[in-house]
Amino acid sequence: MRLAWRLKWSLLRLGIAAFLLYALVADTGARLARLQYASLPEFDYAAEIAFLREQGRFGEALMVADAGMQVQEGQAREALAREREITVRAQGSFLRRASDLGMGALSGRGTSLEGVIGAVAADFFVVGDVRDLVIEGGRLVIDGETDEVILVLSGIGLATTVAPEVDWVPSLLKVAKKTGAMSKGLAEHIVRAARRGHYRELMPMLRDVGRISERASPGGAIRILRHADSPDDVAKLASFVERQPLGAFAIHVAGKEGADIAKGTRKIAGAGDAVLEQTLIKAARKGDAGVGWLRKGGFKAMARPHLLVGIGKALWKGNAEDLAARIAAAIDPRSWWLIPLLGAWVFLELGVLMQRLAVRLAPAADGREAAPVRF
Amino acid sequence: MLLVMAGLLFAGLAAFMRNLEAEALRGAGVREEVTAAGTIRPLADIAELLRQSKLVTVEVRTYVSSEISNESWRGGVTARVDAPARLLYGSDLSRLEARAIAYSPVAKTYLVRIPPPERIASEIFASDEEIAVQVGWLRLRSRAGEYYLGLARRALSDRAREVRLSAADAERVRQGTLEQVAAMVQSIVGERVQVQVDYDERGMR
Repeated sequence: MRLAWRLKWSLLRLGIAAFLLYALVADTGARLARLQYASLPEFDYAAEIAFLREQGRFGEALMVADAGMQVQEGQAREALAREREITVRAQGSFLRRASDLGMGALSGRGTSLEGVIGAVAADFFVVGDVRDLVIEGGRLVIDGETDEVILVLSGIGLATTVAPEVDWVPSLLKVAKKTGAMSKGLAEHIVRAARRGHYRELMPMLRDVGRISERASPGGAIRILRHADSPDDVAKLASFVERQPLGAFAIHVAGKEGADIAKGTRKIAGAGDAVLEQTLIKAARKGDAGVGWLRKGGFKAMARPHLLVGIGKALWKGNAEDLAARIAAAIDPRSWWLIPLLGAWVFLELGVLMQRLAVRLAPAADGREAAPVRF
Repeated sequence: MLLVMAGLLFAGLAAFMRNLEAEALRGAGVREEVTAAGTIRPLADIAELLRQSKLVTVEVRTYVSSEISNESWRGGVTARVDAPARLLYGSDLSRLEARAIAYSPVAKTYLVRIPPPERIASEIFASDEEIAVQVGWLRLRSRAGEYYLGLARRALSDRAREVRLSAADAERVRQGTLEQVAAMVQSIVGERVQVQVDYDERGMR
């Protein structure tokens, strides 16, 4: 004990060096994941906006533009603002609107996106509901086959007094059904509720679809619904796109993988849902490359909290945690020489300690205890 | 001695760490590039290459007929010529602008908007023509018959120009043009991305 006390400063230095070395080495996996992430090219928002606009998916193009403008700065942001303006002009074009309305409203089964938009537009004016009731009802009479989901949704669409704030959602769901974007589970839920006459059971789901649509645009909502197998999934997805400002964009980019994280069906040991959600948003900002990184599990290492962050949390939740995270981020590019430096420091301290111990423990030639060596 | 050893340890570890980072960045699939060269081909390059192709053609084979008649007190003359013809439709890619091409980094899909196909040529195979001449009782086949046959032949090219494609043929031409352009774009951008070609008909609505 007395010996340890005499070597206290050496031991303290060794302890500090070893702790810092451990902290950095233990974070190596996460650091490499962060390096990989940083090396990925940024998502090309402008290209995606132009593509979606050319496809007539104006709402989704605007959603991507808004997401990009939240994270981009300088000239890139100005370029996005220009793309957004062009998209708004194209969307508002009278000619386009007029021609689009004429295409899908007739049959309600347009195969092109313009046709689908037309079908939605018709549905907004109740015409669609009556038309679908006539078409589907006629089929039932003639050949005994009909799309029950469309019939139910048309009925709900007409009964706007049930929930006036979501009276347009059945139209959206009809388009989802017609374009094959509605899962079997969701369709069965609608039909089950209708058969029991419990239309009110559908209201929470209709509200959730409305919430998704507000964040992701109607077209985006239809695409997101592909990933929902039950009303619960719809609720989780709605909650995600509301909670995360870039949530709709993240699902647009990451597709099923993104939706699985948003629904909480993809779990990683040691990483909470909140961390996974943040990682998803991060991955989406890198586009397809980010999704590849997510798919290959690069995020797993990143999702584990850094040791310094953990200590920061333990000491003072809030600023200290943030500070620790910032320190950890600042250390990343320097780790390649910091770790060897700390390793050399530990080695030196160990060497010195061994020498001092050797001197202390070795009996002097004249039989007296050796004098302490100071460093 | 201890310092020298520490220095060597530092150098060795630093080299190891640099190598580790380089390996991580080289890690398979970190970048999901589109072309073998490692980058997405600029849209302007694709537009330029397509412009060089100038014209994409689809051929429709059909028959054209021309009939000329003349009535007189000496009797009537009817000359009819049927000949196989080739109608060439094409989409003029030389007018293609860079903004007609869009690329989605999410869907990994190129979207190309091309001008709708137009008739660019009609060719009549006169060597395979079938003729039918009917002359009245006082008309000579060698004189009146040949004369009106000549007129019918001359009118063949007008008839070919007047040919309007049936809905099915028109759809075949449109589809064929799209397929040809899609194959052409695919050969430019590679097989790892999807290509979607559509007609730019916004100005026509």
